[in-house]
Amino acid sequence: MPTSVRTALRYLVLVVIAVIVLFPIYITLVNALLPGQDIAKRPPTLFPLHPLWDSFSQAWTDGSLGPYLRTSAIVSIATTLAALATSILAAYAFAFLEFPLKRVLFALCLATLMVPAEVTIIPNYRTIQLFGWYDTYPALIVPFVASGIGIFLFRQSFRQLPRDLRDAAVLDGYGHWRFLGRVVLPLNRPMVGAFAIFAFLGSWNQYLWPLLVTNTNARRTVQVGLKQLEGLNADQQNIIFAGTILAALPIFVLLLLFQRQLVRGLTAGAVKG
Amino acid sequence: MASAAVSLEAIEKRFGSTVALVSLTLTAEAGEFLILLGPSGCGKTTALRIVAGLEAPTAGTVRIGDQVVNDVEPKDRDVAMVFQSYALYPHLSVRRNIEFPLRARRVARDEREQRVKEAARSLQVEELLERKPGQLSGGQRQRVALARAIVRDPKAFLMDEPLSNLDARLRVEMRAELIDLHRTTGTTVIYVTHDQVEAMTMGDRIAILKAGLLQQVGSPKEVHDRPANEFVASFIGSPPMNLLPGELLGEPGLTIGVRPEAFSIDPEGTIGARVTLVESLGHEYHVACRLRDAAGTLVMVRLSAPAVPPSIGDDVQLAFTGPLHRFDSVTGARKEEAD
Ligand SMILES: Nc1ncnc2c1ncn2[C@@H]1O[C@H](COP(=O)(O)OP(=O)(O)OP(=O)(O)O)[C@@H](O)[C@H]1O
Ligand SMILES: [Mg+2]
Repeated sequence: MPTSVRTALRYLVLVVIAVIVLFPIYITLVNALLPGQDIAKRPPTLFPLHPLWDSFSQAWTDGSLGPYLRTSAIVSIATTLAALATSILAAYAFAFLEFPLKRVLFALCLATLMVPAEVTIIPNYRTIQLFGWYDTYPALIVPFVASGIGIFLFRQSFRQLPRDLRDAAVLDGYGHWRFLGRVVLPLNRPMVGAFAIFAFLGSWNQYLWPLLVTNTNARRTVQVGLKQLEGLNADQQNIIFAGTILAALPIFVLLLLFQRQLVRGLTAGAVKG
Repeated sequence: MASAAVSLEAIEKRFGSTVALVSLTLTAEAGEFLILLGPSGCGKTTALRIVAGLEAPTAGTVRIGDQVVNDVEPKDRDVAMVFQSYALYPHLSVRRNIEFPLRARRVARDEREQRVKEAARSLQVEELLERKPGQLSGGQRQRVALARAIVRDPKAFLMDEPLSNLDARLRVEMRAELIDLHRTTGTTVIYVTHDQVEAMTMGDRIAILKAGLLQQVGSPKEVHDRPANEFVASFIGSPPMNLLPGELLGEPGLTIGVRPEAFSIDPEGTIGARVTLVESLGHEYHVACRLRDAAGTLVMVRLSAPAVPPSIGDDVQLAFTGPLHRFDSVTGARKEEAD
């Protein structure tokens, strides 16, 4: 097969996949712009001839998305920073320090990856109640500040650092903190970026847990807030769709900004520089 | 001049059940260029890391100057190490790399700049100061690594096969430069290599290790002319010394060592042999011959250029023109006796 045909085929496959992936997002946008009663029509409308841009402002005010988004931002940023800190420090210890029970402790960290989140919900809920944290920020943040996968990924990444670099830094007089700050983190920046984005995404998209541990609007995250929108406007589904898009918008922006970092983080280690 | 003697006293090092060093006692005098030479895995790097403090000895004493440094932190031992991999920080410019140890020691900015400049000048990397290590050739990286070591003006340099990643020509060039650097700084150098040519050309003295055991310490001439045992005899010199069974010369119980250049091809010679291989290096020939003893022992003969080399298959007579070395054929130790 000539290469031009092969390239064309490859692009065709990629285009098909892209369409499949993007279609739900597109249809959400379309539905947000249609009058509520048109959404259920069959065959579905694929292009709104008279887009209702009002849906967005309505969703913003009726659903009071502003405060929800603020709560989500606080929770996600705090969770991300805390998860970064704990993962990096624990991974540093596992990668560079010698201490008793190192292997056992690392195995325990890995074991947390095998436990489905559903299993931990009830015990975590109990703990939160016990601490008197119901309907507070700590309830939304603290259960997610330690990440088994983060520790694992950073440790793997740190271990790829040549031993000579560590030794050179030791001889040059750099202690652990300065070695971490001046050498390890700068050399693992793609990994830090990728993990930060994943942690942020994970936190932002939480639904069940925030629903469970909050009962006032002031502590509800945007995903829970959307649910309330649904209750308010049963016949105005377009507003729900518009709200969904607004809730996802920060994530889109984040992904656009850090796209390159993310890809580099995912392929980090594939090519040694 | 900050240079200091470095000594290891009865150093023992085990990694689990692996014994890397066995009772190693060795001193590099202040200002000396001491070579640690030996085959792969004999414990050279381990010895160096113990001096640097990157590894703690299982037993024994490490001294730098008159201070016992067993319990001194690596950074306070005031030795600089040059790694085989160069160990440059890839995210920092050459300037920052060279500056790195000074920053850690909180040297004032003006002095820092001054010293970086001097180090860069003496290794001819001034032009490269703003580049990243990734944009340098192997030889340039090596120079930067050396600049980072000398900028500290340490009591001793520890170098672990610093030239082994360079191509042959650069290696010769850097060899001369390292010798020069040593002469101008006068700093003690402990230099690890498994290349005996490097050892012979650079070292004031050579310490030869085998499987964690020190075999011999001496000047290049001493270890070449009076190898302490069969191992040293066959490790130093290229092509290696021929080791012949003593029976061949009527000296049972001994192994007789003959350097390839201590043979000549001479019709008057007493040893009959057949030529199996002739290698020409331009200025000399390496001639492999099979002796006519029962075992058909192979010997290597080195002829200088004006000589006309024999052809493969020729029958020749060999004569001794240089000293013979006698070793106990059981222990391998050198036997001194009146020749
Ligand atoms: N961290 C370690 N853990 C276990 N064994 C080790 C360790 N470091 C070195 N060894 C062992 O100690 C012995 C000496 O190793 P060393 O690195 O000192 O050899 P070397 O002479 O530098 O060899 P080379 O010329 O290949 O660099 C080897 O058998 C090696 O396997
Ligand atoms: Mg080594």
